Amino acid sequence: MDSHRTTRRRVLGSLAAGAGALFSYTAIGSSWTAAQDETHELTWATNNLEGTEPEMLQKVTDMFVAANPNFKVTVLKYDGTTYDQKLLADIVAGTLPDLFVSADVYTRPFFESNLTADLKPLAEDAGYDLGNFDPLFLSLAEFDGMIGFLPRAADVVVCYYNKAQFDAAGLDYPTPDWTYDDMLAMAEQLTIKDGDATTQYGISAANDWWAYWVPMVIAEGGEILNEEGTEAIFNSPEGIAGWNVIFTALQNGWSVPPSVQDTVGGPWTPFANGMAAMTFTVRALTPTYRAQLTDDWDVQVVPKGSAMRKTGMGTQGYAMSSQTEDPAAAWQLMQFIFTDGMVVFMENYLTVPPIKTFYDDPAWRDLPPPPANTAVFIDAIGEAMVPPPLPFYSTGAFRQAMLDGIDAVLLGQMDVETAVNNMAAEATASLQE
Amino acid sequence: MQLSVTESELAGLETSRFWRRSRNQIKEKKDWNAALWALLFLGPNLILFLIFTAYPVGYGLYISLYNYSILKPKEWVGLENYDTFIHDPKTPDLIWRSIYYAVGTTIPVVVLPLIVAVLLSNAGVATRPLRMIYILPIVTSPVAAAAVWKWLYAKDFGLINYGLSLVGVSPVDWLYSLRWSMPAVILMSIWLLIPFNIILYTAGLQEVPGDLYDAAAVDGASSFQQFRSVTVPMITPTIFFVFLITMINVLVGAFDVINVLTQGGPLQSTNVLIYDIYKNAFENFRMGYASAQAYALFLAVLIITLINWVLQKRWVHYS
Repeated sequence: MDSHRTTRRRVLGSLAAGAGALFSYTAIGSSWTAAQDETHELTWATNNLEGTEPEMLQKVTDMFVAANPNFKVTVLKYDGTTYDQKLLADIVAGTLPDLFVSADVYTRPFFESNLTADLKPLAEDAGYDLGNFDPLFLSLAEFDGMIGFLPRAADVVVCYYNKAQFDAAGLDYPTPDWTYDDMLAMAEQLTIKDGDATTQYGISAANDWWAYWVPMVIAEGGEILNEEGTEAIFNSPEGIAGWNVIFTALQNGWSVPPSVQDTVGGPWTPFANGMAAMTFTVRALTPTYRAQLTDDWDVQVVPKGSAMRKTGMGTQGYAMSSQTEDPAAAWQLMQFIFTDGMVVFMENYLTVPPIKTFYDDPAWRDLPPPPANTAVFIDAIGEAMVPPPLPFYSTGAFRQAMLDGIDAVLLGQMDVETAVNNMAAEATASLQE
Repeated sequence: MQLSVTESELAGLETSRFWRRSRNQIKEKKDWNAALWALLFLGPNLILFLIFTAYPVGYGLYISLYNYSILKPKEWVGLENYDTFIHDPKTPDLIWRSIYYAVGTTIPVVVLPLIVAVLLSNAGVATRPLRMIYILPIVTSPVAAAAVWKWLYAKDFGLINYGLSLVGVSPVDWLYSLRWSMPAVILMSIWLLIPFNIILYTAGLQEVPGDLYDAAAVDGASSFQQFRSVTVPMITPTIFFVFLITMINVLVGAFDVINVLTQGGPLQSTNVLIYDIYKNAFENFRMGYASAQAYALFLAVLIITLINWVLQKRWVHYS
């Protein structure tokens, strides 16, 4: 519990930028602290129907309401697969929640549509120092000098690997200097077949997810878009080399094919149920793997390419609706989330805090393993890249081009080079629409 | 012929006119009352219909004339969305797949339930338990059912491939195959739609007078001959009704099954018009274009229905 108290102090100290700022938050409250003698009703939406995320939100909410009895906060659980659609329906209906999950991809379009409030003046009025956030992650929430949301997580893609399956295959664990060639060689040896069926795969990855394939292309020396952002150019020889890593694993049956991923519940499920020995994702999956995977496991940085090492990064956090009827109350909850409430997320393996002063905080660094190698989550930030300026919606035509290209190769309709050329052409068309 | 009219007759005529006027007034009054009551009872439903059906239908037509992505202001484009749909090189494939799915599903879903309903009506004591079993797909959520079917179709651990392996057939990736993905979707749709039609046919069969079968039996007709010459002609109105609602259901209701099983893949092989509308509206946020596609689908369904309505006069017997 000592560490808990320490963490709370640190959170308060760093985010409020000292006692003066903390004082100003409560004292200036005449403008940005909700009136104490009124009942305030707020809604806070998450993009998960169940699991750790909504549980954490509820826990933070309970803490907040305990400290502020004149508040009533309702946590709304939205389906992650239709989250965009639900928000859009809320926008049209005028029922956008007071606070809701936002992410890098939403920053610009939400501002352009006047959906999210600019948090910068609110923070300034409340004496809340945004400079404590890692600028890399805060930049993902910025557009045109405005702040669209406060980042809650420093999400950097790392490799999760099953130590028991590596031991059974007689393989050394991945090291910080491993390469994509090493990864493919390991994947081959980790794959176990029983007749026509595969009982264990080396890799399971979201092959069409930008945070997986884009860094691979960059790591091999390729580029994604031209300078104007109007043309997809990942079909250069370097780009094709990046895609070849993905296709080599898929075509040889070392990586879980899309059809199997779809059946078992997505690209990250095979690692959770022991069907795949490696996967590539962010820390947010840690609670799931701890709950479901009985083997010992750990994390490592992603492999190096022939040019460099790159990995995907992103963040999600909480935005405030521009339609909120009680902005002072909404801001009060927002500030609580990123002070006392932050501890809840860190203590539950869910979050690498996007605040530099927390990078070594025992609240998350000293949690019992797995994973043991928590330094990886911080080390990886140095080689992380922000998303390229792709179209807003990850489910749109750009991603469909990737899906179709992968399918075309796996179904024997095209070779890798033709497919990547086709993907780039389709992607370019979607950029110009 | 007497042409003159007496005074008393004139008086009688006036009296009768008076009563006729009064009766009409009373009748009009009654009509107003009846209309008022009807409106009162229909009102709540009518309001819901206007809000949740009529208004969206009208708004869809309006939106189809705009370039609209929800997040940005609408831009008037007139009939451009319709023109884009007609001239899109992907449209012929989309229509072909929609026809493939519709025909592949509708024919079995119209024919098989009739056979099952006839067999069930002659199943004796087993009729009731069998009826309970066949109603199961109706009370199962299509999404939940599709998830189960997904596991049945799984390549490495699916029951279908396991069954086939017992007779030496190599495993097939049913949902990830250009050849088999659409038949797999059709098979599940058939399973899902058959039970409701069995209920309709069962109701239709109960309307066939028993003495017709008695007469046919006396004439030495076999069971098949009775089915062909008595049952089928007598339930043609039911067959027509089943055909129409099944066709409409298949053309506009395929979304659930496709969304869970294949999401229109692989390589668009199961992407039919109704699913493409969803993708354009809610994944690509081309609301105007999706609305134009929806109206094109509506027009197609309307034309097919009208053709069937005209043709039914040749083969449907209502008496």
